[in-house]
Amino acid sequence: MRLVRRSRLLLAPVVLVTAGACFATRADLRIVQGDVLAVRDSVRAARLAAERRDSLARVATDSALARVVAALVTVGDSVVSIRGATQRMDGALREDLHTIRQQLITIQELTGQSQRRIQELRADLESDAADRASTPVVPSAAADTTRGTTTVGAAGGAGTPTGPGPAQLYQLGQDQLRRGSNTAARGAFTTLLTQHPQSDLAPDALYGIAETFTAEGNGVRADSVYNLVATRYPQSERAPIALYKRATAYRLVGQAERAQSLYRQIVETYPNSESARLAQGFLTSRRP
Amino acid sequence: MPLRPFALSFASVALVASLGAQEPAPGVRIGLTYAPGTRPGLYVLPLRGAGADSVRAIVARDLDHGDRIAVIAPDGGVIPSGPLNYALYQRLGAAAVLQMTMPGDGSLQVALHELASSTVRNSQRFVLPQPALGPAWRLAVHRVADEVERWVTGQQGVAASRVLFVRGGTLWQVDADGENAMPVPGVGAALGPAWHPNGTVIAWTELGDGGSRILMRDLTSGRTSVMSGRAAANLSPAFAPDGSQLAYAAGSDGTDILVRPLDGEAGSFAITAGQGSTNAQPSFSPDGRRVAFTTSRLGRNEIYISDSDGANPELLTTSGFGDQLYRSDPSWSPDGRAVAFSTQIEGRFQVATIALRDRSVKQHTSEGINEDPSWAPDARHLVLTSNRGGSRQLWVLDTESGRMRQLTRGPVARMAAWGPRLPAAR
Repeated sequence: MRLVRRSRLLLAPVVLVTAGACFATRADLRIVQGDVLAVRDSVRAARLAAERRDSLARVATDSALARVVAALVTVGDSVVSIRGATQRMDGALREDLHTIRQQLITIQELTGQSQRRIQELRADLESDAADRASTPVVPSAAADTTRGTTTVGAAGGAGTPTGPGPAQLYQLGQDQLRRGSNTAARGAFTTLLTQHPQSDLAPDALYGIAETFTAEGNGVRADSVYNLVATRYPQSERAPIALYKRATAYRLVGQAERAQSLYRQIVETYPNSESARLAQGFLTSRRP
Repeated sequence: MPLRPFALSFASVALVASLGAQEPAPGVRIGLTYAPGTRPGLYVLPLRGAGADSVRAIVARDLDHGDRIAVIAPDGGVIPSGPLNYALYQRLGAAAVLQMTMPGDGSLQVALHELASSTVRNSQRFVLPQPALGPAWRLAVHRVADEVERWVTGQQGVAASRVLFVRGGTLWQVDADGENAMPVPGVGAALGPAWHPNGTVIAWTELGDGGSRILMRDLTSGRTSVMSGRAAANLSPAFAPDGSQLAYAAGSDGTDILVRPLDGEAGSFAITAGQGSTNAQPSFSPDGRRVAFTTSRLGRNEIYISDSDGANPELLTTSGFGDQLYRSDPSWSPDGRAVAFSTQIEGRFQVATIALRDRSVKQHTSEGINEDPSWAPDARHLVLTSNRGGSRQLWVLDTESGRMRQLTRGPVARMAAWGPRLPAAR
């Protein structure tokens, strides 16, 4: 009870002040109301101005965005178009490259075939030349007998009979090798090398000798002759094949490291050869 | 009485005799003495015993299928007793007489009488496994015919061999005379069969959901082994002539030809570097030193040959023949002299051979579609797939004379592989 009484004593001054305020005049109230209205109007005006500014800005922003979007769409279309064109060009290029590659391979193959034909033709020509050279001199039908002399016919040759040419010898060696007459084949190849050491068929003849040893199962001699092919004629097409043959022989007898070394040599020295592609398979364990 | 059947027999061979009658010509000594450039006439005498008629019919048919002998085996006839009248058989156009007797102990005594010298030139006793007319008995009789062909011509026949082929998506086999066609038991979806040189092991491509693989089976034990690796596609197996290695095509983006030992995959190696192209259908030369195969490295399928280690690849089929669009199915002849293959000619597949000596091409077929040739062990006959009879069946072609005979009948048969002469144990 004592607490309630003390609270009442404390609230008394507050009540008195509040009651005093109620005694302000009406004029004072009007002034305050006017001020409030003025403030309200100014706030409304400011808000309208701000809204107007925002609207203008939004319009400007929307317009800019629309322009950006349009530009992006245009760029996108261009990108799509360019990508399509690029793809088409890429496809066309790939096709062209593929066609060129195929044509190159075909040319290579046909060149190989042509070389084979040319080689046969050379052998035939050499054979014909040898035949002509060994044909005995025959007096012409139009021999001038008035002076007791004879005129040699045009077909007659004045030279002494010559031996077989390199193409003939190579063809002979190949035929004998195919027939399994390894000694005879080796004889033909050896004759080619001794009588025509500068012939373009010399690397092939040396390779042929190695093949005869392989056919006889004489791996040691074959290996040494294959090695000769690669060292004596390193620019020859036979060189990478000879190295590949050596590598294969070492692989088959279990000398894997020597084989790998030779496979690496083929890949590094003759990267574009068929032997290099085969050798690569042994280096990378290409096994599907 | 004995004269009457003999007279019938004589009448039935009169036509043969008149066709075969010829002026005496210088003989050549190969097996018998007979006129060069002709097929020697062989009179096959009848015999008696269990299955005697079948023995005579099988031997006569096998010799006829060999295409080297003009067989004279008229129906009926008498079984001569005592010495043969050589002059009579000579007048019938024969160069020799085949006399077979069955002593009753399950064997067959065979004698070849050479008429030019009036002597028995060859004589041998053959054991015929019982029961009569069973598969083993038939095989033994085929072996008799092959030996007689060797006596007469110097060349052994191929009647005692079998052909593997694909029918209804699985493997079948048939005797070389067209009898005993039956599925190989326990084989699923299969393609591209191949024989081991010993005639007791086969390999084939098995098709599955995830791709294909190479299987090998010992026909004696029934044991089957997987021979291929992890590649999606594994195709067209072929055994090396010494039987120690198996070649097949494998890959996912294109295929290369792999060669692997039969006893382990560790020594396997690729003999092609196709780089995306297809390399398949290997076929070894008889000495095992070279391989023929189909490749698309030129942009179209052609036949190449290379060393068996892959070195020296060489285009084989560029000669000016056919459509030059597609050549495939190489099969190296057992004598090493030629490669048979399929080639498109006027839009249809035909079978041709190319001689390795001079690359000359010989087209062997023109009627219908003919493909997938496979050499017989005699290097003279080819088995191939042809639709000339209305549906695809196996036919046997004599490459010397061009004569064709139908090997299979019934449902479609294709992808034949002619096996080696079968060993006596089977």
